[in-house]
Amino acid sequence: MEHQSQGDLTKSDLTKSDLTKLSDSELMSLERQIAKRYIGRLSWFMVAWPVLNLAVWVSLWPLVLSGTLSIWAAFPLAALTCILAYLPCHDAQHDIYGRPGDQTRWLNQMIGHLSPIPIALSYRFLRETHIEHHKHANNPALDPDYPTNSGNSIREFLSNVYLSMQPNSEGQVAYMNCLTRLDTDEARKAIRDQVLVVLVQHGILFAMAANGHALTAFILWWVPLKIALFYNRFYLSWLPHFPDPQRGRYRDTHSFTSWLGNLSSLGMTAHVVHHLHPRIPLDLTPAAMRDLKPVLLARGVDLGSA
Amino acid sequence: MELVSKRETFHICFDKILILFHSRVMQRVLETFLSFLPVWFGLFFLGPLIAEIIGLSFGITQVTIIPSISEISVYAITIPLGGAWGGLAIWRGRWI
Repeated sequence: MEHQSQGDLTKSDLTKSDLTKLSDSELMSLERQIAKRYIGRLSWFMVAWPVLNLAVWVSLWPLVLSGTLSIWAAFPLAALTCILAYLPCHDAQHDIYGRPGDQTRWLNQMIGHLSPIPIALSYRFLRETHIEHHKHANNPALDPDYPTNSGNSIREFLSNVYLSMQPNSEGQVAYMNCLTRLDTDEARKAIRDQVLVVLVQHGILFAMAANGHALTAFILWWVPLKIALFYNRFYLSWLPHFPDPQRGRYRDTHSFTSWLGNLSSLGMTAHVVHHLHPRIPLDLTPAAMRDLKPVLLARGVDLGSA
Repeated sequence: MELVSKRETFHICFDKILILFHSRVMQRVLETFLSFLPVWFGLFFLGPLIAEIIGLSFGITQVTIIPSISEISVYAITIPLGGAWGGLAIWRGRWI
């Protein structure tokens, strides 16, 4: 193996070779070489997902209000669209659709801003806090996700998420403290944008209630939003980082198995790859994980039973 | 005399509105409003929601205060209750 160039390595070579004998820089070079195969590959699926998801969510409102669709039939669809709303925005937060200066930059920004509308969160707010999460993953003081998504058991986690929904909760304060600590132009815009989103969301809820549609708004938006909050935080934040959160590039995230595989976990069984190489598109992280597995095992990454 | 176009007038007015929103007074107003958001949520959403649920579940839309003399809408009871619940949530730090 020492006599071959890194570019000639096949998957078979990787699985057969003892990568633990490689130096740190050789492993890093190999890791980057494999990851590079997946970075910059934009699929129609990842573009269609947010567009269709938002279209379905928006269409539920006139369908239910006109009586065309029963509210109880619309409810599971609303919950599903809220659950699926975050991840395309997450890819946009990492400039996966297009970096500044790219021709597809407009697509990145459009998906980033529009995709999270069902979950009433602003793109800038999500982006600024999420980048801090990547920089300080599992740091109790600096990771804004830590207070909300911590817990050494599922029960503790559920309790923390429930508490985060209360007025002036530790979780909400952590996000605001993160943005205040950053004190950049973008952080201030993030606060402004999120305030605007909250005001608009509440304005819509109040307007619906004033017109005798409070229950519709409650079942079509408020409840699905809470369901999405629990679901996304469980799979995107708690399972990959907790219990027993550690810090360090190859320690702060671990793999896990999910009851319906990648589908039910929204691709998060391969979240460890996302933390190592955030610019790999979500739909390609499972494939990247399979290719990177020998390298990750050599690094001592906890891959669970993956 | 220099004529100011309609477009320029619009931009001048818009800039003045933006300055107003950036003012410390406006920021204070916004902060105060947001700090009482649970109260507004209770008043303008939870209250009407509870009234709608009562109406749909039990068919009650009016409540008798003094028999055969006065009736009030269920909303008149649930809206203040919702607002009070929101206030309690701020005070206790929890909705439930």
